[in-house]
Amino acid sequence: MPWVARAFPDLRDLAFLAQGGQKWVFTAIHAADGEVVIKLIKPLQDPRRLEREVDTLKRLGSKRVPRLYDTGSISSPLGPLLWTREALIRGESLRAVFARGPLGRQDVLALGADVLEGLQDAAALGVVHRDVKPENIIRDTSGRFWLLDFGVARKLDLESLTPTAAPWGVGTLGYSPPEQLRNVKAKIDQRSDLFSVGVVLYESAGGVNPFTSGAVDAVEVIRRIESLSPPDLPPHLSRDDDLNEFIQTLLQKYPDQRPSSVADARVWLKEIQARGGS
Amino acid sequence: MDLALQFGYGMGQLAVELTRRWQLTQTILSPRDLDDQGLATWAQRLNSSTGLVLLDPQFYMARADHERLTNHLYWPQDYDSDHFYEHGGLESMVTNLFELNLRLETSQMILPGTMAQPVSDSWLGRQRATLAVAQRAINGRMPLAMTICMSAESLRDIAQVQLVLEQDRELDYLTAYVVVEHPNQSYRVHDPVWLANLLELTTGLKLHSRRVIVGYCQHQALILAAAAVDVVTSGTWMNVRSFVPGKFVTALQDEIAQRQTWYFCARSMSEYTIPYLDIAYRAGLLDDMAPQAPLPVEFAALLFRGTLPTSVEWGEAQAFRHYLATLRTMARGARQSTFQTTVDSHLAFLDSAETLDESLRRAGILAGTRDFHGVFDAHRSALAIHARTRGVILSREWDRL
Repeated sequence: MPWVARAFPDLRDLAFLAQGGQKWVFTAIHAADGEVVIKLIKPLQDPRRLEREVDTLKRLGSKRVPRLYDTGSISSPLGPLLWTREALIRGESLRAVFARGPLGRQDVLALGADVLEGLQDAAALGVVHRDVKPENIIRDTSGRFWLLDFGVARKLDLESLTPTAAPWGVGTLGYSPPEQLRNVKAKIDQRSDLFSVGVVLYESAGGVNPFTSGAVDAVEVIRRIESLSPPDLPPHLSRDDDLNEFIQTLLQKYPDQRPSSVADARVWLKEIQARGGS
Repeated sequence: MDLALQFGYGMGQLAVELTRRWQLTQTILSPRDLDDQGLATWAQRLNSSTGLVLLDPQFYMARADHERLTNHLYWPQDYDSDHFYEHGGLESMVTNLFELNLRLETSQMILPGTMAQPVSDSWLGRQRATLAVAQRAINGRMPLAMTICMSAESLRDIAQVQLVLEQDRELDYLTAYVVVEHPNQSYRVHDPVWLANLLELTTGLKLHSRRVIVGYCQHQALILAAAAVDVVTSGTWMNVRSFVPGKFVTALQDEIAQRQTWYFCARSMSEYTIPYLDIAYRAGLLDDMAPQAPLPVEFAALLFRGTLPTSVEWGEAQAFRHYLATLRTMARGARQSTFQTTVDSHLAFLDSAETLDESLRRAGILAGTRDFHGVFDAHRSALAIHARTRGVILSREWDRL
């Protein structure tokens, strides 16, 4: 896409990185900001979602969420396209990390701590991420974890962009909690993100997603999420009571049964870290 | 966990006596059983006996036709839900109730609440409206208690329990007064799901920093120590030891018609009519049924003096004193220093009670409809469910609850 390079004269070494359902992603070097990621929003996407994501990222200032430098719009053969320029985090997605096997206990705790830090910063702004999953988490080259993609985040004091009558909410099957799956908006708050964190931590410790692993279809995944008790960690880890109990509590089906806030969960996790062990 | 007295038919004198004995005991007055003058009289006597008085508005069935209940000034004369909640009826009721609470010098005001059957958007809306109107009308002059009343079927449905908790999280009040109908309106509850959901409901409320009072209880409520419930209430007759919605609709005379004297054997968690104590005497098992310290022994001592229990004068007044004093001591000892020890203690108690219950049953000492047989497992199951869903958080938060 040579027109992309022409549209950003202040960038060099522009390289295509990936594409998702809503955007193309490039890496580049910016004269002032250094290594950056350029996200081009595909046509026909609801511009309000990007506006909200941009607004969130601008105000977030979290140490665990890549910094947003700038946003704008360019002309393209496809028509006008919105773009963002964010800090590039060198590393690999958690999904790629998982491909090599489960994480050790200390890494699981570090993952939880970093993701919860990002979510707590978001919660302070009244923002629910709604799509916490391995694809949206990066482990950088120093071993720290970063939370990405607030594209479907919900600002709780703003009107939802998901139709109320929609039977299914936004998010990712296998990571979204029951209230999000069923689009019960009144129940979606920061505790919904805690459920997703629970799935990610379970997967990081046990090597499989407890809801999708072995499921024959989406219906079975939904049934598992809505009706099964939170699964124990695999036997080789279940003796690690602190961590198991923490993850189990995040995975409770009803929000009221989870920690009452991301901040509470973070305090709890810090206590587990402080107790140490390996 | 403490015991409060749930006022019932003919219970005034006993409530005063127990209040004098126990000091600072709460009594929840019943407008169904007392007219305006009666409420004032017993409130004054209880307050002057260092008691704490609460008034249960008993608005569970808004279309009730119970004459004494509906004759109270606060009761709406024409109840139509739309008109009542949107055109001043609720405000008028709350204002009148507040004035009555002031006259009775209650320690806090229990707000009226209808029974959820089911927990619907409209019921949730009525709960919100009641609190909002009361907060506006009372303006901090008295602490408020929300009535959370659920039918047996609603409580059995965990999704409905969660709807209550989700809304509750957003509300601002001090005390939750929980009133729940027993399954099949039976005295004993064999249903582990109902018990587990009551634990779930009360736990959620406690974690929302409510002070939780559970009304209309019998001794199965001891399990609620595992939810850190603050107060359970009980009284004399069966219809104040379990919530019977029908008794608020029309006048029932069952408390008079079905009078029998029951001895509560705390060690087997069952209640026996006195002839069965004679059988225990003959079988040499009576001593096993006697209360042991730290449980109060004085109210039932006559039954265990080495003669046939039916040969001594031991009537319902003594039976009520014994039941309530025993339940109070058990309730006050039910909560332990941690969640896990509280659960373990209850389980150990169940084991010991079941062993005695079985040996008594083998000897033909039967408790009929008040036998705990069949209930033991319901408690164990409910506690297992409860520990799995709430145990971790309760363990963490126990000291602040």
